[in-house]
Amino acid sequence: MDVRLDGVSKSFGSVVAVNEIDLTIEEKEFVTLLGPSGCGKTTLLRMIAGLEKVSRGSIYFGDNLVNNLPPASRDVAMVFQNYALYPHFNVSKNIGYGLKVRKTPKAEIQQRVGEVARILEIEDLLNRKPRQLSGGQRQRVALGRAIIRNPFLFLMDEPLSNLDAKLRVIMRAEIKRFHIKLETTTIYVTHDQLEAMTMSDKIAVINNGTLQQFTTPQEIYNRPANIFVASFIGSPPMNLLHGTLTHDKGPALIFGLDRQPLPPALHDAVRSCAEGKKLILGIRPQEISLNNPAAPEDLRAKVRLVELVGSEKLIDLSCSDDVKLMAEVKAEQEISVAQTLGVHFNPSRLHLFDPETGKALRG
Amino acid sequence: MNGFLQSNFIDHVRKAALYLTLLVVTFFICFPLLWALSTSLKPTTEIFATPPTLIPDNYSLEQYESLIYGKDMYFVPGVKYRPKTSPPQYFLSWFMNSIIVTLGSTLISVTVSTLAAYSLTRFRYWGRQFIPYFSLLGYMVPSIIFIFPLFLVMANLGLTNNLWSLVLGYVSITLPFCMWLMWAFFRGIPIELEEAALIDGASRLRVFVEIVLPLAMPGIIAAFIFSTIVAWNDYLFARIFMNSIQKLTLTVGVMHFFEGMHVNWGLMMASAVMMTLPLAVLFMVVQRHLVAGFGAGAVKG
Repeated sequence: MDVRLDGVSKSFGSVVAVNEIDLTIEEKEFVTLLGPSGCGKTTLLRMIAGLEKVSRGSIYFGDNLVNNLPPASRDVAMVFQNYALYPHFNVSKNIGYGLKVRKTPKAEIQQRVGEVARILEIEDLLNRKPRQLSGGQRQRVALGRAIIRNPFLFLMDEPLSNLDAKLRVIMRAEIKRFHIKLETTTIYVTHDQLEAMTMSDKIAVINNGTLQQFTTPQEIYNRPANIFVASFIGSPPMNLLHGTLTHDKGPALIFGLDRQPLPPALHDAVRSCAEGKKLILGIRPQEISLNNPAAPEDLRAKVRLVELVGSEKLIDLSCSDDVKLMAEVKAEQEISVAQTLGVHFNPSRLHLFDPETGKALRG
Repeated sequence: MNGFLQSNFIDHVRKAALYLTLLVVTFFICFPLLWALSTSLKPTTEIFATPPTLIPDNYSLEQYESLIYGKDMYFVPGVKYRPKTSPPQYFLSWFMNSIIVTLGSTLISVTVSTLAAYSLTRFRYWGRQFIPYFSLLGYMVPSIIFIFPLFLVMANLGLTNNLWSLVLGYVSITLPFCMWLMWAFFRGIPIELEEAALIDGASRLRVFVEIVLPLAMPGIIAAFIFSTIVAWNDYLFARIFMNSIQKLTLTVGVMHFFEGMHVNWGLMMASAVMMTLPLAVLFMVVQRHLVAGFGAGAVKG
């Protein structure tokens, strides 16, 4: 069964939290709703769960309109950011509560709780109360409570954000493994692009309540649809350079005194643009190489700061007063502060954006 | 070495001073109770003995006997005790009246305030933000101001000299605070717990009974205790709403042991002890639940 959102909107008074979102999540897919905090992704998830009423638009599970179904009738399971374990029940009752409410025979509940506990490796914790568990253990119990009901859809609301960095990486892999094993359709909310990139089949990037782009992690990274997606995905963020278009001697962008020719792939994109149009050039820090001495066609830049981050170095550069760049190079490359270097952009990895619409220009 | 000894000595002195202070304060607080207990256990002849005895020379349960069997003794001729002035034969009725109005008003107050507070914290409607604060305004005014209007209301309802007037009167005093208390309490219970239960398939009512109420228990107990104390100890309402001697509650009833120049101290003190007992027992039973912290760690720890 797929999940289809059709123009779904939510307003709280005059505040529009979610604005006209269309989204189709195929069966068995792992889809991440990614965006900065307050962008409406959690509200969207809660509407799918039935915890929040839809203001406009429709939500379909398969062919069924579920807008007015209460959460209990939707056959979904949700993992909350703060786990929301019942503090007065022990682990076993926490996991089994959904079955108990649905009048499953006691013996079967016990057997299935045992199974889930074995999968999650929490068998020896079954008699403990939530407050006696560590963060990671609580997380597993919360997962167990979702898994045991064998729902058609998992909803996860930032389930890893309360864990420390190391545990987060472990649980991230674990959730992904469960998904591969159980093949249950999953909608996962996070503001962490790394989680989104590593776990998802598809990512829906959301900002200010509107859907920015919905596609595979690879596409999102390689072909961001607009400036927001380009700057939100990737670390350090993509460099965005404001320039002026010229068609003189082939299409190129002018930054102050520097001239950056556009690669043939982008010629079509700018063909219809007028001479002198303001454009934004995007280039990821990883796609910049620094040459010493500078090649003739390179931009010239002065090193402002060098930050070593293990196997890479982050180089903070300035071409002129208003053109600043971040480059990421191998740690072995010798670079010192105040040095002047030649900056070379990988031409096949350049992005062009129209500053008026924010959209990417493509050939 | 010397310094160590010195600091050890100072520690001891500090501790001794602390315990001494505590002892004095405790004695100060407990003395009236002890005195009441002691007096209630003396035969009438010893109550005014000089010098007074804190530990009675002769123990006697005659005061309690008069309170509990006073009625029979009063009406059966030829028994040893026959009160002339004080009417201890009503003591058991007063006791029952006190229990009825206390339990009645507490049950109503706690039930209504719990449901009201739940609604205030969980449903969206106009006024839900300021109702809890407004509800406390009534406490800014001494209740003597309200008592006469309230009496007129009761008179119009035909409830004067009826225990219902007290039950309703006490509810009007305790309900706002209980509601505010429960409101503050419910706000501390993460709504995600209820949402999780809703998604797990439970109905709203089931969520309330199985998830919310157990977590709110310390708050409910606190409201229960507050409400009980107010109703049990009230003098003003009972004094004004009730007029026939059988319908009085304990607080007003025992004042009948003062009669002009004659004060029956033995009966007064025995009543005082009997009045204290139910609350003392209640506190002992309930305190454990009150202290037992509610589910810390359910939601991030």
